Amino acid sequence: MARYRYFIGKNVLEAARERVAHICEVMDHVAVMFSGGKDSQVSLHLVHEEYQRRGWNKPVDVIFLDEELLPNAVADTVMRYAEMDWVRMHWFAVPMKNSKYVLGVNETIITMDPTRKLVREPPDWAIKLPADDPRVFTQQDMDGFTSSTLGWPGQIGYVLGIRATESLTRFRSVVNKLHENYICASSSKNVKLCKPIYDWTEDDVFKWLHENNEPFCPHYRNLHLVKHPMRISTPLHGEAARNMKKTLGSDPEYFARLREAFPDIDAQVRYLDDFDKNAIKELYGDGLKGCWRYIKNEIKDERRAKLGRELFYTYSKLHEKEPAAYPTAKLLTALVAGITHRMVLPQGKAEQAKAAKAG
Amino acid sequence: MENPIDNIQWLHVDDLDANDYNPNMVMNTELKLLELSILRTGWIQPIIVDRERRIVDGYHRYRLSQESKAMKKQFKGCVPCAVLDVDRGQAMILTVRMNRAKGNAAAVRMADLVKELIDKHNYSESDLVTELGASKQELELLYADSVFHAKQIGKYKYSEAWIPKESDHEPNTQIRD
Repeated sequence: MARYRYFIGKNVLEAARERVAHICEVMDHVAVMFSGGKDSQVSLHLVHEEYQRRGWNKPVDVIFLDEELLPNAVADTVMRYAEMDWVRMHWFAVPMKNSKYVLGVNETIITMDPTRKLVREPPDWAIKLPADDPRVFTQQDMDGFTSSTLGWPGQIGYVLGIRATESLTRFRSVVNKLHENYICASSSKNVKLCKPIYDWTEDDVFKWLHENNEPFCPHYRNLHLVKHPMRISTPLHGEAARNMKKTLGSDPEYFARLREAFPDIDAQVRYLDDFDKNAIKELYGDGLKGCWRYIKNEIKDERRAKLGRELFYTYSKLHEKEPAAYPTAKLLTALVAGITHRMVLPQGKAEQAKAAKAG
Repeated sequence: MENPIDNIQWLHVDDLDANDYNPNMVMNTELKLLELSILRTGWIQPIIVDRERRIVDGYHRYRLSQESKAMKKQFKGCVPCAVLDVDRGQAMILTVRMNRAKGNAAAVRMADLVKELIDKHNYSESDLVTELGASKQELELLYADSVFHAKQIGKYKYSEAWIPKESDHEPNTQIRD
């Protein structure tokens, strides 16, 4: 049976309020995962609004995962909320795995790494690991780590500002289930990921902020100026690093601090436009064999190489079934662009026709 | 026409003022390289100042002359200057022209500069298209003060909510087979 996006005759704000009310009803404990960005900001206010409607005289629990490599404007926004009396902020500043991409080379980096000078220091009261604790977390670990650290009993609902229009992955995450489609499983049994604004557009979010006169993170103005997608994320991983010049243009002081910690990002700014992808295609352009050789020769970081090999196996199977939709050149382009952590999307019908015509 | 370069004056760095609008930026590494260059080669071009002795071009060389002990010693705290008879608005435009010839300006600082030229120095957007060598779209983007304004969010109406649904009946939008 086909699955449809079924419009329900009410606007996204009314629907999101109902979803938040339902989340507060069915969960034993609710917390908002706040990134400092506009989407989680709106979600946080909707939860607060629901608390007030219910007469709950308690602050809203808010979790911020400090990934260190964020512009000051983002951290300032989180701090502004931490100082509000209706917010109980849990600021986590623990070592987490992230990645850095410079001119085709991907490597794992650790944010909040106690062994180097930090790009930005977390506040003194942030939740940190003891000095002798060697753990380094992944994003997936954090649902379990945050909930166990904070010790809330029962079923916990983490409210996120995820929107379906941001990416196909996010879209799929909210259409997989038909009942309570916005309440999804997490890597931790007692935590559910709740996405009450999944059907909002970016303009819906700005509409709410405008209507409610809520100042949003000033970094968006900078992103808007350089025509960067208005999303707050760490700046060094493969897909973001391709826009490093925009980071320089949108926030030069921030770029300077990043460069102090990771001097090689200079090369990305100076030479990315000159980076000779065609030369790489000549070296590794012989189909699946070339892609395999690229992973072996060029991806030095073992964790990224493992992800690359996993991507290779999955993609190879799809290529065997549908070579036009999954051409090997697309896999190589993705690998060169530093994409190893997610599936490469199939080629669209128009692209397939164009490729067939070109022979 | 007399060229400003015909009259170079050695002025003491303490008698000069920085400007507060320069959209160009130099990283510390480049600043050190610039210092090395001046110490090894000497001054190869003057700092440009307006009649108030405010920097029009050469801010980083000015900063080095203030901060570098080696430069202070070598040049006795003096820098070569070409003094131009320009007002602040003209000086700002000249700064941008010279920066543009040399490299990229940071977008956020350019936006502040364009805003000041239009709001305080009475330049029109079309003046600046000519004066700064910018396109109309670039100026509009730089001058648009807020995301709300650019998106015309006041007129926007919330979109309609949706849920995923499986059905054999006629759908309103199919999302997946």
